[in-house]
Amino acid sequence: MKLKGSSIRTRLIRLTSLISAISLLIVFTVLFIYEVVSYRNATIREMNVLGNILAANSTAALAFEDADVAQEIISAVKAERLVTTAILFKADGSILASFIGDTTVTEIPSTPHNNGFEIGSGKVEGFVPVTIGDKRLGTLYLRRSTEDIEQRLMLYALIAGSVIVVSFVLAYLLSSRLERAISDPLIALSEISVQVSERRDYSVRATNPADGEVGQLKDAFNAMLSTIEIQNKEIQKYNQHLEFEIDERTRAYRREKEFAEVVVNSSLVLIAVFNTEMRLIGYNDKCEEEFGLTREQVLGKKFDEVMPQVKDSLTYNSIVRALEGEFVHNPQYRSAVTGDFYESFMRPLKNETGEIYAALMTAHNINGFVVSTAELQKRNADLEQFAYVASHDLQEPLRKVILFTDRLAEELTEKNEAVTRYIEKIENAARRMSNLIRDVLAYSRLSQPEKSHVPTDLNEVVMQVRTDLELVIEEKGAVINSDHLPVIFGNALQLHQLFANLISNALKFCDRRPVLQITSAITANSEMTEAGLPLPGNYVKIQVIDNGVGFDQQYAEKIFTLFQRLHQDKKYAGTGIGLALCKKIVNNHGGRIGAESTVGKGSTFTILLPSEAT
Amino acid sequence: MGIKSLLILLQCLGALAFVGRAHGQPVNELQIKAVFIYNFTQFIEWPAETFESPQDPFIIGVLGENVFGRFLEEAVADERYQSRPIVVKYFATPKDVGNCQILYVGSLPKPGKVTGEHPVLTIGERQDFMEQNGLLRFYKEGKKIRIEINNQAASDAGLTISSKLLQLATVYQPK
Repeated sequence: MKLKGSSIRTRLIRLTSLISAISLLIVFTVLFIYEVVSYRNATIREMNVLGNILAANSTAALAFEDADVAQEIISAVKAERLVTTAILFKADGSILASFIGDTTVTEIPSTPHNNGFEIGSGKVEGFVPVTIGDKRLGTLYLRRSTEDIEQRLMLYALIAGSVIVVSFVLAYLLSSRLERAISDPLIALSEISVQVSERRDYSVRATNPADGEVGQLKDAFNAMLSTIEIQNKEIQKYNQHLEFEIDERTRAYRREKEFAEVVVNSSLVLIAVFNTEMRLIGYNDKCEEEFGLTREQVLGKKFDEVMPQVKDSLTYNSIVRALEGEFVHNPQYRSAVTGDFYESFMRPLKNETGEIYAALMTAHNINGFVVSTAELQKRNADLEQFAYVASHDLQEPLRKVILFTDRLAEELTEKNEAVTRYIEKIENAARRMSNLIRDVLAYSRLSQPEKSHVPTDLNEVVMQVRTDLELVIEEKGAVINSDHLPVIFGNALQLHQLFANLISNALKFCDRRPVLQITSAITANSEMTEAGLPLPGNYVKIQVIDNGVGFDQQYAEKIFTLFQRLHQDKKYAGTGIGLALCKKIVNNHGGRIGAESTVGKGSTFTILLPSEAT
Repeated sequence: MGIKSLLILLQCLGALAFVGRAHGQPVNELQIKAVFIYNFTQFIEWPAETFESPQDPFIIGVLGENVFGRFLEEAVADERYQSRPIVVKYFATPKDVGNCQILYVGSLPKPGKVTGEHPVLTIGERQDFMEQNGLLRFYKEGKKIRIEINNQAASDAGLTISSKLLQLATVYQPK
C-alpha cells in the first residue's frame, strides 16, 4: 500500500476511534459528576435520617440523663460500619454519651455546632438537635467516613477508563475494517491518478465499484479523463498542424530572405547596414567587390575596425547622424577607403515602436561620371575657344575668297557659261561657309561671359526680325500674326537671334504659304513642374506655331543638338547650328525650350522665360 | 457498654457526692426527682378525657410533707403538657387529695383510693409501692436514682407510657 493510501486510512481510523473515545469520555464525565453529587446528597439524607432516629430515641435518655441507655442507643450506629463517631451532648453542652468506632479519629468536637451535615475531606459530619416537643434536650453529633464513596467513585473511574479503552480498541478494529469501504475506492482512484500523471496515459479508467460521493468522484474523474483524452488528441492534432504551419512559414521566410538577399546582392548599389554600435550587420556583394573585404571579414565588427581610414570621414559621420534620426544625402564626395567619388544616402531604420535600431547606407560609385563630366566641360571650353578663334580667323580669308570671286566675275568679259556657273558655285559655297562660320561664332560667343540683362520688349524684337526677313517674307507671301508680347529681362541681341532663328526656320521649312502664329501666356505651375523649373516663379510662355513640314516627334530632343540636321535635302539649306543656338540662348536666360510636331502638319516651339530679373 | 461510658458515669456519680441532704434525702436527689417528675409528663400520655376543658391545667400533686421545697415549681416553671400549663398542688392528707394527673406520695403508702374516674400516675418511694398497686416507684441503685414502672397497671388505668421511658425503667412484673 502506498503512503498516500495509508494516510487516509490512518486518518479515518484515528477519527472514528477518537470520536468514540471522546464521546464516551464526555458521557462518563457527566455521569461521574452526577454520581458524585447524588452520592453526596444521598449520604447527607441518610445521615439526617440516622441522626433523627437516634435523636428521637435518645430523648428519654437525655431527659433522665441515663448515660448507660444513651450509650446503648448511640452504640447502635455500630451496625453502620462507616459511621465512626456518635456523641450525645446534653443541653448544657456537656457529653452524656459517646461512641467512637474509629480510634484513629482524634478530632472530636467538644461542643455542639450548627445543625445539619456537611461533607468534609473523607468524612460527612454534623449535628442533630434532640428535642421533645419544642424543648431542646441536647445535641447529637455524627460522623461518617466517605471512603465508600471514594471507593465507589474510584471503581467507577476504573470501569469508565476500561470501557473507554475497550471501546477505543473496538472502534479502531471496527473502523479499520469498515474504513475500507471509503478508502479503498479513494486509494484506487489516487493510484489511477498517479498512473495517469506518470505515464500520461489518459485512456485508463477507474473501474472499482463505489457509490455515494466516492462513486460520483469516480464518475467525475473518469469524465475528466475522457475530456483530457479528447483534448489531448486535439492538442496533438493542433500541434501537428502548428508544426506544419511553422515549417511552411519557415520555408516562406527563408524564401523571402533568400529573395531579399538575392535582390540586395544583385544590386549595383553599395548596401551596408550599421547597428547602433556602428557594427556592420548588412553588407552586400557590391560592397565586397568595391572594398575588397568579404562579408565574413566585416559582419559583426565595428566600421572603423575593419576600415580604419573611415575615422572622422564624411561617411562615418553621416552614419552617426542617420543613427540619430537624420536622413543624409551626400551627392558627391571622395571616399577615404577607395579614393573614388561616390553619391550616398544614409537613412535611419526604425522598429515597430519607432526606435532607431540601425542605419542603412546606400551608395554608388560616380567616379567615372565625375571624371568624364569634368573632362567634357574642359573639352567643350577648349572647343568653344577654338571655334571662336577659328571662326573669327576663318572669316577673313573667306571674305577675300568672296571678294576676289566677285572681281573675277566682273572681270570676266567673255561669257562662258561653264565658268560663270563655277564662279557662282564658288561664291555660294563661300557664302555658305561664311554663314556657317558666323553661326559657329555666334554660338561660341554665347559661351563667353554673360552680358548684363536689361528689360527687353519682345514686340520690338519680333518687329526687328520681321524687318530683317522682309525679303523672304515677301517672297513667300508669309503671314506672321503676333500677340502682344511682354517685356522681359534679357539680352536683346540674343533674344533677337532666338526669334530670328525660329521665324526663319518656320519660313524655311515650309512648302506652302507660311502662316505663323506667335502667342504669349502665363506659364501654369503644372507646365513649370513638367519642364523641371523651380516653383514658385513667374514665367511667360511664348509659342511660335507654324504650318510647315514638321518633323517626327521622336526627334523633338535631337533637333536642339549642335550640327544635327533632319533634312539633308538641298531644298532646306542650313548649318545645323540654329536650334542649338536657340536652346543655349534660352538656357542663358534661365528658361526652357521644347518642340512638338507632326510631319506635314506644322510645328509648335514653346519657350518658357522668366518674366522678372533673376 | 464501653469503657468510656463507664468513665462518664463515674464522673456523674462523683459530682453527686458533694450535694447536701434534706429531710433524710440528699438535696441533689430531690432536685433530680423533681425534674424526673416533670419529664414523666413528656413520656407518658393521659387520655384526652382526663381534662374537662381545654383550659384545665396539668396538675402534679404532692401528698404529705413538701420534700421538694421550690424544686418542683422550678422544674415545671414555663413548661407545658400538650399546651396545658403545669401546676403543683400540695395535699396534706390522703383525704385532701383532689383532682390531679400525677400524685407523688413519697415514702407514704399509696392511698387506698385515688379520686375520680380519670387515671392518675401515682409515684412512691416505698419498697412495696408496686405491690400496693402503685404505678411508678423511685429507687436507688448505688448512687443512681432508678425508676420502676408497673406498665400493665398503668395501661389498665388508661395511661400510655413511651417505650423510651420503659427502656430506662425497670418494668414491674406482678408475682
